Amino acid sequence: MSQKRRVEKTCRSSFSARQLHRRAVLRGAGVTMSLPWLTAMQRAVAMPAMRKETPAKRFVAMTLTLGLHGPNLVPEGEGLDYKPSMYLEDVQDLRDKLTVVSGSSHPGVNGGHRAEASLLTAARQGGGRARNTISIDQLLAKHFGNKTRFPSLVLAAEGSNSPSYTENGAMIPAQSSPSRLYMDLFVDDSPAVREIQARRIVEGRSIMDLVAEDARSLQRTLGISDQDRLDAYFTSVRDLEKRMAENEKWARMPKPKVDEKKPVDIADPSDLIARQRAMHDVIRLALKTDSTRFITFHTGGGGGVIPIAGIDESYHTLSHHGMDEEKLQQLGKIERAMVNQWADFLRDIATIEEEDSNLLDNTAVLLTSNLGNASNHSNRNMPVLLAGGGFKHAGHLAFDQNNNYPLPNLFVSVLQQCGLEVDKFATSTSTMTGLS
Amino acid sequence: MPANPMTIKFRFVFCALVGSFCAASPFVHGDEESATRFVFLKQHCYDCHTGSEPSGGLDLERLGNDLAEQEDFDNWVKVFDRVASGEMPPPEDYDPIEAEPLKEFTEDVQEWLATHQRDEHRTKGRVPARRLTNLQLERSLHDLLGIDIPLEREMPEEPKSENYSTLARVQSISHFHLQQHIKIVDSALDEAFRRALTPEDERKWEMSAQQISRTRTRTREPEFIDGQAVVWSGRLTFYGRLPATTARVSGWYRFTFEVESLKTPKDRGVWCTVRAGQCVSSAPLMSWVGSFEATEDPKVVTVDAWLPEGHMLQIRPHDVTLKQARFQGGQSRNGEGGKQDVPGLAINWLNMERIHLGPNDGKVRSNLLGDLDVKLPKSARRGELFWATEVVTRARKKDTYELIQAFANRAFRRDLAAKDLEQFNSVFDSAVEKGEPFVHALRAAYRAILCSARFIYLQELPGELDGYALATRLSYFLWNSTPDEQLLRLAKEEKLGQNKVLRQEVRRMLRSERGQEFVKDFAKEWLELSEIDFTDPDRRLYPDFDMVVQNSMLDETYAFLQDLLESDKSVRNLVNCDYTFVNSRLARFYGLPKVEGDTMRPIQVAASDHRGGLLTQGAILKVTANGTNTSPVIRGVWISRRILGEHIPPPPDNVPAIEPDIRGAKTIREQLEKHRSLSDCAACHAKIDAPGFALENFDAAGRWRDYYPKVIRRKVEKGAKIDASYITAAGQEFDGFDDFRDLISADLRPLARNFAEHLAVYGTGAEISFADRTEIQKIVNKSASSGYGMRSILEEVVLSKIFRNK
Repeated sequence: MSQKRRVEKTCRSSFSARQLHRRAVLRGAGVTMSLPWLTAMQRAVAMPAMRKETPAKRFVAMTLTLGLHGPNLVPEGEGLDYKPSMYLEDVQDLRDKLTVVSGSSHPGVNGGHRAEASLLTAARQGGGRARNTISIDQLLAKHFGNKTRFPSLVLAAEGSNSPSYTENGAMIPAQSSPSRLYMDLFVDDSPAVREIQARRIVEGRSIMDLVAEDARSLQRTLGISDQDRLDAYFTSVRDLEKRMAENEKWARMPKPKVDEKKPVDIADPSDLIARQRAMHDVIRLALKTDSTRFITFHTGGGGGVIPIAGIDESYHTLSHHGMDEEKLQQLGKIERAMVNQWADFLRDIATIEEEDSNLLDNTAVLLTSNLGNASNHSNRNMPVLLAGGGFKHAGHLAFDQNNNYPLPNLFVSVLQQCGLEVDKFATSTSTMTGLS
Repeated sequence: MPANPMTIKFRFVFCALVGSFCAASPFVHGDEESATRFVFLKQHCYDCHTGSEPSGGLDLERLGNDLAEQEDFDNWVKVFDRVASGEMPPPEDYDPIEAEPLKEFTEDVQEWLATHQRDEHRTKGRVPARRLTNLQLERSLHDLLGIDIPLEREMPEEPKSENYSTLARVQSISHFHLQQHIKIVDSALDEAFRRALTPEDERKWEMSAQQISRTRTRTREPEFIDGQAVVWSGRLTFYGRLPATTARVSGWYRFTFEVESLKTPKDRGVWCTVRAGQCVSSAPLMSWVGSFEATEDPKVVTVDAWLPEGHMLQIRPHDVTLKQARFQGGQSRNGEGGKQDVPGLAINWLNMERIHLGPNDGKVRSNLLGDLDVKLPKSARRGELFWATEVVTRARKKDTYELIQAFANRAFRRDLAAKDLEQFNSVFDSAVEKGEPFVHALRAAYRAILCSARFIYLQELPGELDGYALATRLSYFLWNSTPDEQLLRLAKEEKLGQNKVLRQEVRRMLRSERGQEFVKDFAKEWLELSEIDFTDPDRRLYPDFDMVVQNSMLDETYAFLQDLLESDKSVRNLVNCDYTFVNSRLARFYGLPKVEGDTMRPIQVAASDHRGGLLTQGAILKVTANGTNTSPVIRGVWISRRILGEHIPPPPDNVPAIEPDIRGAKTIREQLEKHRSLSDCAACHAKIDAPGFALENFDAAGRWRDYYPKVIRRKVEKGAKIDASYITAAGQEFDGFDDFRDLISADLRPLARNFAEHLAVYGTGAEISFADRTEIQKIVNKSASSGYGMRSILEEVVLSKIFRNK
């Protein structure tokens, strides 16, 4: 007990003196984080005896399938004195809260749309058969996810594609219904249902043991040929067992309550802007109640015409603008609306107070895409906007458009900012130059 | 492998030719054949394919020699294909390679690649362990348990490659999937035990026209007029909803109702849709149930619908070409529609039945409990406490173990040794020890069985498949479900491997009820019909397109393919024939002569109709367009890959893509001419563009057109005249679509090969590899005697080595 308390204490102070202490702490106690930090509002609903803590660090990645048109996004000038681009005009009130990065991309990642799989993993794709690996949100969830009811949330505006991948390269299917997410987060099942669920979890864990054993004997029959496949199955079984153990704890605790009503899902799959807005609202609530700390929210390029005045071709078609002025003008409207949605989300979470700061200061929010140019499916010069998270923002970090800066460096910076003491992620070479 | 004369000869050539290159090159790894291959490349290919910007992104100086490296293997296949087809070196810039060295090179490389891959297949198989797809999981649970509740919709979208969900290579698993899997298994088992242990839930309600009509004067339910429930043609949302049909419990319901049309237009009936949903603005999604054409003669319509609790039916006229009534203030007032002289639908009566698809409760019970008797607890309320049901066993352990064994053998699709089942028995035992009731303990054992890797993965060993594995592969190929008793019996008796038996089974399976789904299941993936909803045709450009048309289009393609398969018609029909299947609505949309009736029927088409064959079918034309306009590139790639069997590689990874700039160009043809003038694009576009241009006369909604539309200030005007002439990659000119389809149906072998390949990919779960090519050729040759009959090709695929080996 006394040892545990010491660790917590060291860990708390490590937020103010990171460089000195964190490594020692990690070496001594595995990867440790400060305990969940809770606002007054939440204190009523979970872990009653909690003491005041340093606010937790969160990470949210908003990702786009179809990129953002470079000339409309990349500002003129460098550093803090940049002149806002068309897409950044509307977000100047957040100027000191965000950094726009140009001239960066993931080294060795190609393949147009296929590179979406590497967006948050930065895994090279050589030959098209290389295996993907863990995405940055899942790496954080793996280390710190056990502090919250949901280790991470993987969300999409439509469909279930996501940029979130497990360690062995399986895509995590995204949830796309804000109303269902709301139910998962805030609406308790009836005691009877909870009872059944708790029992099923216990039974489920013992079944996991059993099917692992069964798969081992199957593996002996099948021999080497399907080793990889069954290994992936084993890993899944083990991971699920771990998850179930965590769930047992949460299943007995009531879910947090919020004042906001359950959202209505937007029926039109083409209305991506409204779908973003609806999901942003639930994401905000999820962060506010500390239900999770790591979220990805993906907006795909499917569907038809986005219902915005003046748009009459499908989003995907417009992204293949071929420099056609009419198409570029329509695409500009859509993308500007998307950047504004992102900015509205930032403004919203900035209003939520946390100790001496606000939720935005404690949440790194990324907006990015694997496509630097959707018209020719290029994966260079990816659009990158980073906001909040307690960074000292740098305005416009302009790197070489022809010889890109490695974007995984930004991921290293985000990981460190979130308290994970790593100095490498995928093909990174350092932390992000110019960002601290 | 014995050294063949070719290799020996090569060695001499090598000595004479190579000289100093051999010592200097880092790419020669010792053996001489490999050195000669590189000499050939150096002579004929290095010109363009080396240096800092190698043509097409292919740097042959970096090409390795170790075929175990996937990238090298793939690149060698690329080299072989391009050289063997004469595509490379590009004939426009280089003299052709002399016949003799060309033959020596291609034969050597072919043998080298195929031998390597065959060895690999022998030890590992060409398919890694496949997982059940979402659809296969749903159907397997349905068939094992006898239940009918939808499960697939609860599962996350699965990764696909080339739109195939069965490809093992792209299937992955994580604890998220496993967790989802357990949830699905739980829903299935809960439903099965509920069905087995509670009184039957089938019920029937008879409703008069008045009972399904409105109770207020301003609302969206049907109006009650002269003893009929009436809904007028109009766009009002949720108009025609029937709250009386609201499901109190989720389930399948059968609706039977009598309809007739009112104020019927002279030349047509009143097409109507049946949809289901909550019909309130907070939950606006409606699911498709069916459609029919109401006429002045009353007729009875029957539809089956899955209704989640609280969902109701909506029946209304649904034809955008009919005059639509306008309603004030978002409600329809009594008499408001009738005054406007629009067509309407009258329902005379409606019956609603709670039903089950497939087996009855008795069969569900025997799936779970064999022939054991149950005593339903007297105090139990419906749907509750049934876990406490007493099951009468003779010898408790023995009986239970037998049940578990029988269930496991069916679930795992093979007879297992007793020792492999012990752990499932122990689940039961330990649950009983903990004091769980019998039914609950048994459920736990079944749950473990359905979460086992033996259920989730297909169990196939390298080499020839045993009877069980073959039965399983066949069953998932044709039914997307678990093998039935007969297949398992034939496997056990070791008879299924006999060609005659196998062929008989294929025919039996295709004729069975499940077999009727094969065409749909396969076409959804092969022809990407699963993507039919991906785009909405622009309303201004395609004002007469609606949901009834879209669903009729799907039915057209399904009926067409089903007929080809049943009657073993030639693959020629796929691209060139003089008939199709339509109903009255689709015939009208296509502009064909009038057809009566709302079910699909075969009709002959005239040459001037430009219909007949997949390429003329609305479903295909729609999935290959974006809803607004057509692109010869997208359609061209699609037809090359799906119908003509041309391999079109994706644009190269490491070539910086050229920024498309259409500002100087006008028509799509001119834009593409510009694109083709770039050498990096030319080689593939020579193949892609021909079928794409040939289809330009079909618009994005599937209608024939002679002119492009031009949208000026939101008004559609006649634009440029369409020119569908072009030149094929082989250099044949054509002046339009009709000409083009004659060209591609002149040689049936590529069409047959393509069909065989797609069946094999879908049915085995792996792409056609280099080493498979000769076996595919054999399939094609064997089906020649039937005139390349579609079912013959399918049967030959099943009998082939590709299908019968892992």
